[in-house]
Amino acid sequence: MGTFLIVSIDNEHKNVINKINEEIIRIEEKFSRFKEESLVYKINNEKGSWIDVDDEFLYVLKTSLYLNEISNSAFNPLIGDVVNEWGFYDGNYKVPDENTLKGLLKNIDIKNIEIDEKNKKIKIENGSLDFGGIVKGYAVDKIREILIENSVKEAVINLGGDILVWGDRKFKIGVKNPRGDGIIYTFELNGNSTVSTSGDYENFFILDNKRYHHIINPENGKPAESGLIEVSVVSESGIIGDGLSTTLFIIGKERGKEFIKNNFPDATVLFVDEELNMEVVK
Amino acid sequence: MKKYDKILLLSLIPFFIFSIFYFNINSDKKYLTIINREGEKNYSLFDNKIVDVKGDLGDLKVEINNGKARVIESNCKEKLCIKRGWISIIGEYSVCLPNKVFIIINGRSEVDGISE
Repeated sequence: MGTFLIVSIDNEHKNVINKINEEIIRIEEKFSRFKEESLVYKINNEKGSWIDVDDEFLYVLKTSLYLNEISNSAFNPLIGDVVNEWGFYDGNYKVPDENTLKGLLKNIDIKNIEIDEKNKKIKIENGSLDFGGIVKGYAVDKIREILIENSVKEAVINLGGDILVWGDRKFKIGVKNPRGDGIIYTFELNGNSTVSTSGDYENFFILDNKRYHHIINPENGKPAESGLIEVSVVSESGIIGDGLSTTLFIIGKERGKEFIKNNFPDATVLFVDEELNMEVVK
Repeated sequence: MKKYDKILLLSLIPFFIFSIFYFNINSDKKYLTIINREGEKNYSLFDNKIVDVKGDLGDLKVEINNGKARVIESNCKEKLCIKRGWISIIGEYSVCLPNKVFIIINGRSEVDGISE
């Protein structure tokens, strides 16, 4: 696993990339599903046991539970076993049978997560944690802190497709064309904005002319079919923007517009449907 | 900071033994940069050819054709680099994480970044 990082920065601050790298690796070592020393791995593999966590872990977990609550469970951090069953983690792609999915879906109720906030411990009884829909955005927020600490005046960060623009000017950020090369839309942004995009082209397989992608709808355990093929969210908060792009992709445009209006009126969202029609909601 | 003063730094994570590459973006023309563990190489995007690139798991093939580039062969399991398809505008990239290979259309771009 892993991701990539592209930092566009002035020559004077190029050494900041080392600090950014260290921070991303630190975050990955805590939140990765695959690293045996990570907290997520420990929690997923020691079901029913209380595991010591820290404030940072609780913040990411509680943010995902908040998104779960306000989205009527469309965003679900316990979806890991379902994603794994489809083969999206290791490339062993397959369409699971209905009974298998039904069995796995019984375990993704977030009531399976117990939090002892006072003693900073958590326990899960069933399901498995996957912060893939949120942790890159969190890392982007932490990178912003590094830019501030190091008095960086201007930078563009691209962490695996999640963008942070930082500086006192207007920036142009393109959004990938989901069905070809080039970009489909360009955001003009003030500095201190993040852009997070979810699409059905990132990790997918095609079987019998049908595309199966990695953004799973927790309602049925299948790739979301909301009519959207790409959602891009501009938000000051990276962690919220990241979680929102996944959530909106799952719930679709009409429900999504209402959801944004009611919960995140400061966010700007680009919806792209199957016919490549675009709508930007501010 | 003027656009042409900025540098682009790339890191593949986890990268512990992988170098960080520094690009100077000072060309008005677009070109292809291919990065692997051995370093970076630049290619004209209009010199149509297939480039063999050494990856961590084996060789990849990158096709360059009339201003576009794409990965056409890789022994990675997911083949996300191949599914990525063509890249053609400055700032577009395709990455094969298992092979630690990154290809990007380089040059001075109209956009500051591409979200995907």
